[in-house]
Amino acid sequence: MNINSNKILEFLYPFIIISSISYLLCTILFIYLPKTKIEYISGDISSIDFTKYNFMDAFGLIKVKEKEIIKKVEPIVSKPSKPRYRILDKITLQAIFSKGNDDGIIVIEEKSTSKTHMLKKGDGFKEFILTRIENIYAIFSKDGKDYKFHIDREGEELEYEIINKVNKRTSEWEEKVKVTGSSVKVTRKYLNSYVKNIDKVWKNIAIREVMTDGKISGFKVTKVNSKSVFAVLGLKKNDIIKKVNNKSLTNYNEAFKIYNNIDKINYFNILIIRDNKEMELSYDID
Amino acid sequence: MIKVIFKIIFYFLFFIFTIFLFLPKDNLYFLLEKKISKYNVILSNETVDFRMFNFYIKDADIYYDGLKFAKMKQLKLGMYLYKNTFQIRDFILYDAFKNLLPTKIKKLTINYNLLTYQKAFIKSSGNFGTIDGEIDLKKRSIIMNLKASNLMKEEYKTILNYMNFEKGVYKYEYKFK
Repeated sequence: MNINSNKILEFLYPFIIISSISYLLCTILFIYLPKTKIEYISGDISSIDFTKYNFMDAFGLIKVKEKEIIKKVEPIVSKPSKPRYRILDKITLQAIFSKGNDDGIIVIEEKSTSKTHMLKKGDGFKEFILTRIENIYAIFSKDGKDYKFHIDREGEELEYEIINKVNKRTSEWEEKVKVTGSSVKVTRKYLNSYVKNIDKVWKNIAIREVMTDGKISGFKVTKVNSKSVFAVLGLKKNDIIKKVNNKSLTNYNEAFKIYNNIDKINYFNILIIRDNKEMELSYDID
Repeated sequence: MIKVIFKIIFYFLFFIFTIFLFLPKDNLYFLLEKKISKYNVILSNETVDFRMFNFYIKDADIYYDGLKFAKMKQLKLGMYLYKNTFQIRDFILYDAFKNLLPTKIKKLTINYNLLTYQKAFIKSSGNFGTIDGEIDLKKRSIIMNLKASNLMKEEYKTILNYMNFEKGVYKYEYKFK
């Protein structure tokens, strides 16, 4: 019996040694490996309510006194709500001194008092923040909404064409691109006809990446169909598209993001380089 | 002498077996996630299942640079000593991409075995049709032959324009570094 157990031990001994070595190796590997998983968290987590926890409370070591709580409760007095300022009706954009690169100063005039204010990017006016300054417009933001103001340039004509044509089936006028004063409006329906038919896009425009130091720095327009919306919107062959809605096109993903969110945006601002000069093309989506 | 050699081989195989047994597989998966997150790819909401030689990721949402890109029913990685298999089932792109790419890969299998160690073989099917191809590790190239479905021919002509059409099959070659 004693001999048998010795034999078994002798047989098992190398296996135990091998198992121990591999266990030790795996343990060392475990020390160097990450311990947590990566999850995608959408949205803003900064709005999670902060609650102050008392360590002693958590274990029931201190009883919370009801009286103390009662003291802290204040009577709710309804305050008259502050009337909302309707910025769209109340001000006009008088002048823009743009330095390019989203920098500069604007002058606005309050319609009611004719009082003028000079604002730079980031300045607040009433409850609105000036978030963008471009050559022909400025954008104020409040509560995640953008309010776009165009400079009033009466009588000034832009180069864009108005495309109106009769729909043969319905005999109705189809308005596609509308130019009024300084704003160019594209109907969402017409835009969607391109968004939902990617073949239509590639039939009318061809682009390729422009690489600088091995990275994408923009997209060059290599072909534009002169009858397409891209030509009407002002794009020309050899234009280099650098930014769309102030986002640099440094990878395909940025372009995809804009494409995916096209339903949610109300304006387009395209920064291009034409003949070595920066130009901006701006459109509203109606 | 032969007995000693067999013993060594047997102990070696046992060593490999125990390594597979004790490997901190969860943490290896976290490392993989960390590596792919550098390319802005995040797998989320998935369940991970480790078996002795197989590894499964199920019901994963795939995000690319903050965009919800696709949903994947199952990814299986089979690691056998002589043969490795990488298999994806029901990989579905989100609707936002349906204008650009065919949205469903029903099955994608990449097989690699030691007998043909310079090549890995690809087989795939989905609403785009079927793909047969190979990854040449020596030439560092991927060659794919696509038998395009009618949907692919009608709705994704643009992609087919990037491929060479020969004998009823669309051929695509990609070289990697």
